[in-house]
Amino acid sequence: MKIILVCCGSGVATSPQVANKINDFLADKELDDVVQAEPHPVETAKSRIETNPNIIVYVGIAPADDDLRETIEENNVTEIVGVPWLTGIGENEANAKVLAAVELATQKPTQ
Amino acid sequence: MYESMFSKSLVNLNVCVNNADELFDFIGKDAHEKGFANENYVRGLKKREAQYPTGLIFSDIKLALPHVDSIYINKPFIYVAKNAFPLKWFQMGDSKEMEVNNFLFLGIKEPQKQVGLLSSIIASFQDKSFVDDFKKIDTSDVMVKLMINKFAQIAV
Repeated sequence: MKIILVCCGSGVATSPQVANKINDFLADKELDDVVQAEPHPVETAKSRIETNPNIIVYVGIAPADDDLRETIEENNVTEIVGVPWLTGIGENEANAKVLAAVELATQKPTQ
Repeated sequence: MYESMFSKSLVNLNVCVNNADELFDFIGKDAHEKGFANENYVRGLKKREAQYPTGLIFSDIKLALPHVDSIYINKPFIYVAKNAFPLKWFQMGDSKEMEVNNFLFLGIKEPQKQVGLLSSIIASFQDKSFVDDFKKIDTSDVMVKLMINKFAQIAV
């Protein structure tokens, strides 16, 4: 199972909202058995990305600081801003980004 | 089932403060004195907002959702406040400056149980007819009715 990591400051309020929205979208696209969104506090993001190669997307409610961004880039994780899933403004575009990242990550390597 | 989270005493549509700090002092102290949050709640609000701002610009309304880690919360609540004029605030996500006079203080005690409620709140503020009602209402009585009618029956 691939993982979309969704992080806000505390992991209690906004990140579960966004994770639910993304999981609904994934279910619509029948991708919910290959990838799922998980809400976590942002403090844990760096170590999760470093230790879990199944993480393919980082959705931040707050922008990643330089340290976290470096980890995101080093691990080839796609970063997407999470606010559109809260306000609805730009939600379709954000869903499209998720879809593109999932397709990219679940592609079988071609020889 | 969420009815206990809303109360007339947790609605103040006539707040008149000058900035975010004063709002946190005022609402935070009130929530603490009413037993919903502990004595460190105000400090928690200020710290959390400075790190992770909570302003959101929806299509038809600007809203801030100040919230803290659940350790500060005694009983779950939602405190609805409107300030007499917009306050300088920062947006969730990109920390850009904005102005806002509508506030929902989210007192989250058990995130897993309150996720349904929160997603319903977020959906409602995307809905123009709800937003029109929310903006129009100027008494605590009517506001708490709107909140309970809209949110109290949601299944978790």
